[in-house]
Amino acid sequence: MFSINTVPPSSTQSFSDDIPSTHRRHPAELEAMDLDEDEFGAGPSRRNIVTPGEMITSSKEYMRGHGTYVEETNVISSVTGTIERVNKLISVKPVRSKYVPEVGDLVIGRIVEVGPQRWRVDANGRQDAVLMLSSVNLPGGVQRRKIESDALKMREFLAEGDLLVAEVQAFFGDGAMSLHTRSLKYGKLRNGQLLTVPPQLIRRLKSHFHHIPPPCGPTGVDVILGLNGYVWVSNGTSQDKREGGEGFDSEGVYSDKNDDIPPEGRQAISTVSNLIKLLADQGIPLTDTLIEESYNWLNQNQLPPGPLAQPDKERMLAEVVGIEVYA
Amino acid sequence: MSLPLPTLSPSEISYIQTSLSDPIHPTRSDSRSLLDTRPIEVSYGVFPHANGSSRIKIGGTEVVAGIKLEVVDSSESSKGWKGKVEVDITPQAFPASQPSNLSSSSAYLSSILQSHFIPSIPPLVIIPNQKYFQPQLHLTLISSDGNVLSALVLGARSAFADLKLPKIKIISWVGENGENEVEGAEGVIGKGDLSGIKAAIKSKSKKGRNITKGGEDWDLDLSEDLDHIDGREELPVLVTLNLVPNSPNIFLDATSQEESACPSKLHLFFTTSSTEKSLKVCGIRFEGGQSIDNSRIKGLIEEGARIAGELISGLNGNLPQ
Repeated sequence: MFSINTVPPSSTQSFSDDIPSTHRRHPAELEAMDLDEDEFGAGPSRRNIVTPGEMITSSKEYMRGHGTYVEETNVISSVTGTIERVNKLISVKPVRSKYVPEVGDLVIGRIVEVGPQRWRVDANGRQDAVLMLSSVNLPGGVQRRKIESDALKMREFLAEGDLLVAEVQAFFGDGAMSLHTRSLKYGKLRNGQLLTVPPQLIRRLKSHFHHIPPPCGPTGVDVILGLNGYVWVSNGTSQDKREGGEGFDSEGVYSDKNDDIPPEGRQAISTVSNLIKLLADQGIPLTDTLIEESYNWLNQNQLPPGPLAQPDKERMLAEVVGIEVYA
Repeated sequence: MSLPLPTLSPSEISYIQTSLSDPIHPTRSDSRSLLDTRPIEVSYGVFPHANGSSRIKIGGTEVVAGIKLEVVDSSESSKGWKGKVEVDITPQAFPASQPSNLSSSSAYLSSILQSHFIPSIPPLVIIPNQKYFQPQLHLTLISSDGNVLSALVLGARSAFADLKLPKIKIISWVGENGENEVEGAEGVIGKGDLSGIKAAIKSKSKKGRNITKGGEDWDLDLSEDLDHIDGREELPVLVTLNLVPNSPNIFLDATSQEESACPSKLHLFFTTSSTEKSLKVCGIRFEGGQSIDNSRIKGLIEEGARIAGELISGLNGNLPQ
């Protein structure tokens, strides 16, 4: 029931013995010399990873891009990341940053506020996104037109706290996303649970709706990998039901009622959630094939139900992904 | 419910509640069983300059605790030696909250600990009925993912388990006849060289008793090893039973999403004693707004006591030293 572990306190103090002598020199002293073309090229470059304040080059030839600034004649990095060079433009791509949206991205968001003819949505970006009333499908099918009273009934469709999956349509002048759910596969989310992972781990792929087939749960498990780092894991449905085939319920798009999900299905959803969290904690980019393989590995090894024990986690990572984790 | 909780959609709430209330196969979002807690990590001595310190991690909830001792003049009965506690919530624990909400949540948590944890701490004596060490406990919540109060109480308990009391020696002038040595708390007075001062000190009596005293002072005796406090294995623990709406199920160690969906909980503080080997309740709090049948209370307290027994034996097996 309880597992209590005593861990020695980690020391954040650094002692002068630990620091190698090169680090003690003033950064200006360290040679940030004029780097020739090959320095940032395709081959292994000598200095690829930089930290804020580190001088990249002192050459006047290079222009500064994102993630850098100019001080006197030096181009200095302002974020931690890898150096990228395009002809004369030097930029630093940060290792970790807030989600940067592009048009056409699939995102999962939560309604924060209901406003006049629009909803304000939290999509894990720098600003809240906007979902206009004219950008949603109203219940009754795609052909239903908007009427006056719909603007007064917005909370019947989407209220504060609701989760939805949408696509980025455009940007406002200030950089806020404008979303739309004008497809039968977008809309309100139910029958599952939400996870948050770092946005960098979600690749831009052709499709973000993944289905893990049975034996993972009696009807499979659906995973939606939102590019903003929100991941929705839910009970499996068939393609038809999801995308407007015969099983599609056009009146019930905005219903809050979950389906009846048997305990095995719920267990499968929890297991897949644990796997996704485990992979995300190790910084491994998420794809549907990886999740499916991890689940198959679990099945093959017939582990007891419940959360994974630490040695099992390490074994899985080593065998499925091929990385070694040292505690 | 004065800690900020994440907002969930009605379908998420319904999903969590139906999963937990299943009579035969309840499921949790991370596939734990109902009475399973996330692994608890304890570190002792994280602040070397504090008299006692600890760090607790339960999943995503992290708490650091530190104790500083102050010397107070008090008698046993006037309770001036009672400890003080303060809980600080860092803004990074709840990034979306206003500072005013955080400070009222801090006050709420401090008051719970002051009422249910502090009274069980025994007096830390220097000179009986005169000088005491007053522990000032400071807890900081660094990040939160549910079960905050348990983590705070664990942090407090572990910091007291790590607490080492300095030995004190009393330095005092002894009169002419003072072959008797006055004993300080754990030390012995040195008979100082008083030749020049003896004349200035008046004896109150001619008998061989030591009653002449000059300015009394005390100092730390660092020559001996420091001791942990007595009774550190009997300090209180908290068991929080989360109640599932419309179901007899209870579960332990909720994540913040589970707390949003099932806000009603029963906090039970238990303490143990070495002589009696049985658990005693030293605090009960019911919060969350749901009302339950009073016939359930006894069963819940007994279940809580059973769980607390396991927690206490797990903790006492892991004490520093």
